[in-house]
Amino acid sequence: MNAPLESFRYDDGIVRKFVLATVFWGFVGMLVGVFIASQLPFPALNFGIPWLTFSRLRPLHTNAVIFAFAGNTIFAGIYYSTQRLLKARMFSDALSLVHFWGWQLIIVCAAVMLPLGITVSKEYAELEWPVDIAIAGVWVIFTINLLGTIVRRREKHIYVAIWFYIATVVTIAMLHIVNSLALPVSLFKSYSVFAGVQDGLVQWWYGHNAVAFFLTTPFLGLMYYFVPKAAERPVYSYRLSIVHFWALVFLYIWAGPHHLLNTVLPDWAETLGTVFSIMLIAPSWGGMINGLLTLRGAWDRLRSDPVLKFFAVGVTFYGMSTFEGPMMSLKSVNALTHYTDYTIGHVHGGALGWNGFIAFGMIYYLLPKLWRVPVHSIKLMAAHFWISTVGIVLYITSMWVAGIAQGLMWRALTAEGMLKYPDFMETVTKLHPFYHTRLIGGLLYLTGVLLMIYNVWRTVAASRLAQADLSDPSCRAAALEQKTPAVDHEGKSVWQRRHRWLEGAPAAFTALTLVAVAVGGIVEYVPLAAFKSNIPAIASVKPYTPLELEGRDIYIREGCYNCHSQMVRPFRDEVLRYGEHSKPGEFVYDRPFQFGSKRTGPDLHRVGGKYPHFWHLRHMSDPKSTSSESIMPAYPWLEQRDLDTSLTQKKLSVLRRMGAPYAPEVNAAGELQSQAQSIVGELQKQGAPVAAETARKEIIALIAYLQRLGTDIKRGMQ
Amino acid sequence: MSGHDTLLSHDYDGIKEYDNNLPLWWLGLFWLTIFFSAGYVLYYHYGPGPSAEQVLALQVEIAEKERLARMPQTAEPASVEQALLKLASNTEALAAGKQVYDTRCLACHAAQGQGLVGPNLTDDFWIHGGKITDVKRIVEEGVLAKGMLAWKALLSERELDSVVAYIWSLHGSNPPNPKAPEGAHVPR
Repeated sequence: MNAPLESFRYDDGIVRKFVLATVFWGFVGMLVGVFIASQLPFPALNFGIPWLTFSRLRPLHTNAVIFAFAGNTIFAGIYYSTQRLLKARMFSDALSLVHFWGWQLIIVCAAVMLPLGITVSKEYAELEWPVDIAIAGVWVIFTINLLGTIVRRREKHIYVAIWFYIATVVTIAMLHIVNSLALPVSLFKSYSVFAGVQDGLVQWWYGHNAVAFFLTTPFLGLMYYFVPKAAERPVYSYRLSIVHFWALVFLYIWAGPHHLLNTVLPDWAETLGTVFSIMLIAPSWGGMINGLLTLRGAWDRLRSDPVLKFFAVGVTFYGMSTFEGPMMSLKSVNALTHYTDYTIGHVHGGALGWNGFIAFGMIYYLLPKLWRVPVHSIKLMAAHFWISTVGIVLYITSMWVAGIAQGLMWRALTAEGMLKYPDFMETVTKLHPFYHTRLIGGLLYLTGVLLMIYNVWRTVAASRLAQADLSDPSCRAAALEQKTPAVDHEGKSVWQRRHRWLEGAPAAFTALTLVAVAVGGIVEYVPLAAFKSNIPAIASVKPYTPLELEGRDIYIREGCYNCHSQMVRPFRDEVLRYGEHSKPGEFVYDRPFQFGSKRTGPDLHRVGGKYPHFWHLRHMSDPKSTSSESIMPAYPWLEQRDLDTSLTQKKLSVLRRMGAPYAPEVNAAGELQSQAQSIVGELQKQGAPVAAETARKEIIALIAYLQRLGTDIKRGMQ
Repeated sequence: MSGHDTLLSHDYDGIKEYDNNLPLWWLGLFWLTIFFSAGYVLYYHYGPGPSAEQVLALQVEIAEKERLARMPQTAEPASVEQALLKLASNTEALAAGKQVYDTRCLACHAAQGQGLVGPNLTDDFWIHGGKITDVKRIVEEGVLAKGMLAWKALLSERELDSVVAYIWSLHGSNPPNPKAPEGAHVPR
């Protein structure tokens, strides 16, 4: 009856690799974060070097922390726990290695390309199409490796951690592939197949669910493995894990539109974003409860065990962030917090508190298991915990206050119904104390990470010195008998028994997960694309001229969207400050959309015609010359570099293929030159010391684009 | 509570699971958010809930009414001119005006008003009219084509008046390196 026991070994070498990569990239990503945080109160730290400017490095920071730090964390944890939960070695050692080195190579590509301005500007999906293809390839390899291991498992039922891993691999593949769809112009330039409002919806369906399925579900999986292991306590409730898992993966996908509240997204879609965010509170908290209540009976050990400290506080931050997020998804709250530093505080509560602390707890838990010597210093672990906790508190509280203060200043009106702070700059200079506090918070957090690096290094060194046996641990377990009935008769209800069956049928489980995560996106996207009434056409809105298009691509290259939105919301203060509120039909030629998500500087959707060309020229070469307290980096190279027009004609033809009504016989170079010359002529009339050859420079294209922004609708009204 | 926990037979790498019920308060919270969501949809899409655009239209309407109610009888142009000229000899207003000038105007009109990118403000020549009300109009509305910003949106009424008064007071100060005269000769 009993099947013979099989011998096999867990692959711990690959886990060690991922752990070290996590530590390394965590340091890099957070160092870049601290650096760009210092550039806000001290703009001189941009050094006038293109690849060191805030706008180029901010995507590097987000990508490094999300995909390099959190990514390697996930892979380390998944490779370690999956083998043990399924009683099987990873499906293929070769695939494991390709996964590891492929992922690191992609990170290196990102670290080179993003500072160079090679970007598609969709947040957390900035990388250009060749890298997108590589990401998809590596992800498929990871998926095969994970699902292959599941197929070869020696444990009939898959544990809840594995459910979350399955949801992760399936959903990230879907999100990444759809959001990255683009037509290439060259190796390093492509245009999104989606435009304007649709592009915004797809991007935030992706962006929000990258948070959900890259920073939440895999980390919940890690929590379900490492918390009960470290606490040596049973999981609080199996039933809760079933209900909150399915509720979470089904509901999460719908909530993307909460990133676009009070914008040109149709009201019905915004409402879906709001209500699904609210309905996410309980499913998210289900995870928190199951994590925290698993620690029942182990609370006393929190005093002595820093691993449990990290887990307990990490899970608590998860609970806090997942309450705060839904509150920010209420339109009235969002109206105040959106585009401000409040959002920055919110995401760092999640990233530093939840992802960071789960990662650190896991690394400290794994160190002695992987290197087979005790961790070098428990005291340093505790110091890391306390220093980082203080860092997080300083970070998020300063950003909360900064965000609310600035949001209130933006909307403040005088008794006469005028803006109380008409000058945007006034609302920026008030933030300096908070920017300083945030910088201190970030430095503390980074200090904690340095302590961890030291601890890891000493532990690994001690392992080497002791010549610890690092061979793969061996294990024995019976092979799975295919005929074993999948149902054990434990569940109380019929549903529980059915779910138990599903846990023994991973293919069905995966298929069902795919259905659950696909529904929300389809229901939101298809009507938006299918019904024209969602985006009423505006006849006077025309495609960009060749020069404006090149200017727009410079705007994207320089990362202007990191600090400037292009979305005037239908609020009294915004209409007073910026002009007519944005209309969905104005963005139909925007590939990709540039709505932005943060206003470190003012909104730019109605900037066209607001300032003379000369103002822009001076502002770009030295922002302080036009606003003495500006914290914007200077972009002097735009005045020096010749505009590369070699691709202009091709860009137009790619956009024409996607529906932009450019005449096939359009002479891009000719049109571009004549518009550039006329701008230079106007500059000279305004007294700008520019020669005729300035017409060739990048700055002229950028000015052309900025002066076009938001003006088509006015032409229609005249 | 933990006394009633029953362990399931599950065992994954030593991890066991309790068969605890969903916490009632948690279940209640879940249902509450679901009912809230249903109510939200009903209120905003099938009920009286206004859209952001409707709220804005209402706010603009109210603001316009208030503005009309507040507006005194239209001031005589002559009295506006008188008031500004009076301000131009008020040291307090001039000090405030200088502050505004130094942060906003200096970059184009130079430190002492002698002109740089923008015209000289100290001579007898004016491009857009030489009355103090003309100066105020240009400061407010700007001359976009020539590079002059419209400051109405950025400066308060008090700041606008004081900077106009300050500019007016610069007349005849003969600063060094003046920009060549531009516009019509309008002696005071």
